[in-house]
Amino acid sequence: MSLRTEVKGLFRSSALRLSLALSVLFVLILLVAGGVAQYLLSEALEDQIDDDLKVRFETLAVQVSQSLNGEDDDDEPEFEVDLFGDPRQSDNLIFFASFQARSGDTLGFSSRRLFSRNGHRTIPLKVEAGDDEVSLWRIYTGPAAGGRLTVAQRWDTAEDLLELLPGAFIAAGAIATVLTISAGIGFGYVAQRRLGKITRALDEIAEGNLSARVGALGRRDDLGDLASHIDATTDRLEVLLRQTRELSINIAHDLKTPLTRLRVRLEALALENEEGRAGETAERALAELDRILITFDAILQIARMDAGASKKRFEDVDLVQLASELSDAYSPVIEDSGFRFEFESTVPAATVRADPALIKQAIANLIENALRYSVPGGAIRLIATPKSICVADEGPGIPDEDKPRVLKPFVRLDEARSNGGFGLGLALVQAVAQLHKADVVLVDTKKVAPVGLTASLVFKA
Amino acid sequence: MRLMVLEDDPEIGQWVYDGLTREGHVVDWLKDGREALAAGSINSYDVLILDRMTPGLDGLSVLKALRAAKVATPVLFLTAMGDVDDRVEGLEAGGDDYLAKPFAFSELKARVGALGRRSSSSAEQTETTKLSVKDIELDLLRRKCTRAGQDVDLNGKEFALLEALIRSNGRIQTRNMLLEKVWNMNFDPTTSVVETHISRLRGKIEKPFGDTVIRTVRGAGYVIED
Repeated sequence: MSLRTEVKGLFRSSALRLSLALSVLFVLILLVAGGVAQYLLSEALEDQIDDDLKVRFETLAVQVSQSLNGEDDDDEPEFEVDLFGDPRQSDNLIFFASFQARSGDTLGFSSRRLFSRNGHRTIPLKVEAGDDEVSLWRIYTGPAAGGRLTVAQRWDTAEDLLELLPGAFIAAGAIATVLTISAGIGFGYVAQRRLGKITRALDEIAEGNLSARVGALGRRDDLGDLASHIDATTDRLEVLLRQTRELSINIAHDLKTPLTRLRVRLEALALENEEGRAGETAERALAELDRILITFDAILQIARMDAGASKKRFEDVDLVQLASELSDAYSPVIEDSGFRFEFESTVPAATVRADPALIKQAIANLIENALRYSVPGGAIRLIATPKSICVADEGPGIPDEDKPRVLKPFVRLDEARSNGGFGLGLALVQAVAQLHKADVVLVDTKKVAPVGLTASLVFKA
Repeated sequence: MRLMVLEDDPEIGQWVYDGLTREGHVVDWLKDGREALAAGSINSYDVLILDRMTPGLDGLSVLKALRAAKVATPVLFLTAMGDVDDRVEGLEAGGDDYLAKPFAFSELKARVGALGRRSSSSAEQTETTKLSVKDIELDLLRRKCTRAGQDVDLNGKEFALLEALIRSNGRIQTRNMLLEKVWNMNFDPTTSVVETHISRLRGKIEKPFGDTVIRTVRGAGYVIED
């Protein structure tokens, strides 16, 4: 097996496909889980910060009102400044508070946004003049000592924490995907090796080699069970087919002996009464018997080919040459039956592996069908190319819906097309084609009635 | 001719024995393969007629043993195993002809006659380049046919057909024998391939001369007699 087919086979392996599907599913689950986790975590963080802010606000509000009440007449209330902190003075500040008195004077960091309304909010603040950097803050604003007090906690840092989460999820997802796919490739490769063994054995069996077996596949698992089941089935099939073959040979022998005796007696009768009526009857009976025998042989021949007859008589056959021999044999017959005969062939360029005797017989059947079913006056054409032989007649043709059916044994169309034959001619052609892995193609010769039938035996390139 | 028949079926054996005796042959009829092998190695026959499925030793093994013992007597298989594979097997083992049962006695008679003639003429083995019968002459090298000094224009198959009939030297050629020899066809076409070609040949070799050269033997075949 070439590397290419192995790689191709690997991508068709169900194990790899399963692992790919699982990876996709896993990534989807991670995405959803990550999203949910991030949402829940950010909610929890917000709640916690809000609780913190509330506590700080209440403590500060008490302190602010105490210090305001303590020094009534002082315009500049003096707090313990470190309680408030000022983001302008420190980069690393994560907490500050500002108070806006009723007069509008602000203590601590001042921004219009800080006191715009009460309650919890998240706002961006530019805390350092001249600095473009805007930082996010979670704030709580409420009334205190006649003015408004805002407490703020830095939100960026909390968000930094949240941003870690997707990274963690992506890393986990990527590692899991890589691992699942490599495991899938590994399993797929092993499974493909074992499936390949099964496929090769089945191919051989399909070609008629019923002694082919899958053999031991190593482990005892579902594939191993499948292999042993296939082997058991093939064992059984081989026995049955051998029995059938022996049976058909036995039938041939057992029936042929009495048939031979029958023929012998009829022939003796005809010989003894050469001039009488009994002799005539015996002659007719002989002719009828010979017709039965031909059918009998055709059935046996088809049965043997269907059972995967041997290909030991296969050789390189030049189809054009073979068709020209048939043309030599049949052109006087066709012309004397009142048809025009045309033989068309291309220059032979290639040969096919075939059993020449069988191909000859198949094409002879097609020619005889054309003779039997078409009306004298038309043309019968034999067309040969290196890969195909066609017989085209100008008879009534076969309706499209019946075309596949006529290739089966004992199928005859209406009375108009059933003068004489037992419906085995095309079935034999089909059996010969199958033995050669070739196709029987039936098409209309013409578009106008009578359409005619063109039957071709087409070999695969 | 002296013939041996190996056939275990009493009725068919009797028929073959009677028929061939009536034709003037001396026939030894055996029913067991081992006896046939012994008889075939000791006696000198002109033709052996072997069934394939016989008690003691099958016909194919009899033939192989005889050929191994350098007995070159022509062998005709007369058997119910009529498949192409069986035929090829029989001919490859050294059989000279193969006739599947059920058979017409005329077919057997003609084939036995052809084989007997082969064994007697094989001693001479002269490569002939010219064949002649009556006033017909065939030049095998130049593929030319003349009758009474006049050229007769025959195509390839007509020439081969006439050659087969002349070579058979007064013995009947059956339809099937001609199909095998001239057209290399081992199956029986339902159409009249042989009859048509014979009639064309007659149109060229008989009609201009106003007589009959090729005689049709009803139910048997064709023959050209001196």
